[in-house]
Amino acid sequence: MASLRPTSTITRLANTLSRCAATTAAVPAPVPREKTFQIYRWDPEKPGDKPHMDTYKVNLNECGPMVLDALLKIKNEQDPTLTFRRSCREGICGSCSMNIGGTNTLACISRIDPDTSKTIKIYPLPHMYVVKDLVPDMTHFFEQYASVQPWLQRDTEIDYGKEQLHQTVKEREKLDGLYECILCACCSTSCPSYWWNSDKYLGPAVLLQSYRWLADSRDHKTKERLEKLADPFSVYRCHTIMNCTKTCPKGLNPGKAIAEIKKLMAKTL
Amino acid sequence: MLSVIARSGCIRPIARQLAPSMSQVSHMSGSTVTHWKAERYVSILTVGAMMTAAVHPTLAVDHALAILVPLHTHWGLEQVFTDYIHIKPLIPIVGILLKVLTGFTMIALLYFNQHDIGITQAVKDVWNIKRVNPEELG
Amino acid sequence: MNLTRLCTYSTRSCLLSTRYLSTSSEYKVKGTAEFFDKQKVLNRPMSPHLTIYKPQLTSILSISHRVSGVGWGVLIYGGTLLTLMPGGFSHYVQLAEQVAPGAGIMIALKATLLLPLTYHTLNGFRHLAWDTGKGFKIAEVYKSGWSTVAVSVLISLLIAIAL
Repeated sequence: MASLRPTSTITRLANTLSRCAATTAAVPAPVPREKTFQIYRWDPEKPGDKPHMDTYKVNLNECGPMVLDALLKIKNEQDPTLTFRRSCREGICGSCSMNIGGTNTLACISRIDPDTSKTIKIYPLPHMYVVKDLVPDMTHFFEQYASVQPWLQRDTEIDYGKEQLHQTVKEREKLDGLYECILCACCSTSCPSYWWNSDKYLGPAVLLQSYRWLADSRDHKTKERLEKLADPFSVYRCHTIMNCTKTCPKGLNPGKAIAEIKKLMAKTL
Repeated sequence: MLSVIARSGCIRPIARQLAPSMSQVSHMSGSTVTHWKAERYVSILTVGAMMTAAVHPTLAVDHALAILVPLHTHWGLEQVFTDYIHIKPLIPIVGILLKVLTGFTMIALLYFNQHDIGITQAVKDVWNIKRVNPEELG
Repeated sequence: MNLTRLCTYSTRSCLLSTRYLSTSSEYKVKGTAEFFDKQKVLNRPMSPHLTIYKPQLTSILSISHRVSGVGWGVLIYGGTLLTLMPGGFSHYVQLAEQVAPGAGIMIALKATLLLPLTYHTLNGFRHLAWDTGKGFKIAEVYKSGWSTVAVSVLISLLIAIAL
């Protein structure tokens, strides 16, 4: 409200207070935006319990934008028994990987679709043994990772701290898109070949890491690494389905890494 | 963290860690990769043979098809079975069954090429099937 | 896991792992047999997969490549049997001519039969390109995927109509 006369402090204060009153009285409380979540549940401690879906409604006006925010809100306010893994809440630790809306991703960086007419379905990572609710048993996945010996191996013993292991800029660039993997297992559990053959097929995540070491110019055991992979199952169950690259929440390309492994094997072995 | 572990002596000399076990030191390491390469070469040759048959059909091309097409099919079906069949006693049985079927198909097609119209002509005949009423056959 | 389950698991796993000892050596990854034994003992459910995973171009085209290949493989193996039937191959062609439907339906049938073959062949080229390391960016995968489908349909129709 423009006024040609300079206003005193008291007048200004009175104006502000009356404006506040007017604003609060005129605008109604915001309509709650109720989003429906259907979440996979199974409790090992409940005798006779079978896997089933539980439905929860969350007011998006009082919830953070990511699916993990909703899960935490449900756990805090509605159902404390809802069980899931989580840690960093910023897409770097890989704990909260799960199947959201049909594809595997990290709950903490998966935005909730604000369309309240649609239900979000949340499942654990596919074709994994369930410990409880959204928590899969990752033991075998990590054993597979250990089996590719994901550390630097050279012909001579490394005297740590003595000197740098030099690498050109171009050689270092070859590791881009490989070292960033957070081992969330979204890719491996999106792969139908891994579904059917997870006992012997290593899967995209582990193979990407295997290639990370094959591509590292400082590593000297390329041939031995490749020989260890040379059987019909470890690498060759990959049929380039490409669900892995499609689903990677970090934008990596396991499909391409596996193709590079196959090329290396054809060239070297 | 890695340097702490290293200095504590937990990481053993590297050469030992990648020494292959008995089960790995077998013909497997060479043959799997060879098989992979052979699959790709045969795929390329098969397409080549099909295209050649379309423009310049000869007995030699028919014989090439008689070998390549069943071979490509065989290896494809082998991958399918390896993916889906996990019941251990069933695996060698299906393997043998498939080899028998493929071998039989190859031999039958070679015979067909030699003593009958041949693959390319057979395909042409099937393609040109047109309604013919029994009376018109005389 | 509570005490009862721990005891049950320990006892049963002792019995089971001796039975599976012979098979653990066949696994390159250590602990594989024990892992799967443990899951059985604990009676854990398997999380759903095929029924819940979103169908995408990646997986749909891949399974189509397999189905078209197996389909035509069965046709070829079966068709070969026909060449050995009494009367000879040409005899059966003549029989087919007597029951063949009209031109329009024939074209539709030919196109339908040809589509899996053209798709499998064209997607085969896509696979061979992948084997050289090319075309792995997701945008490229989708572009090449849709192109393969479109060209397969086009070629199948063209050949069915023109030849």
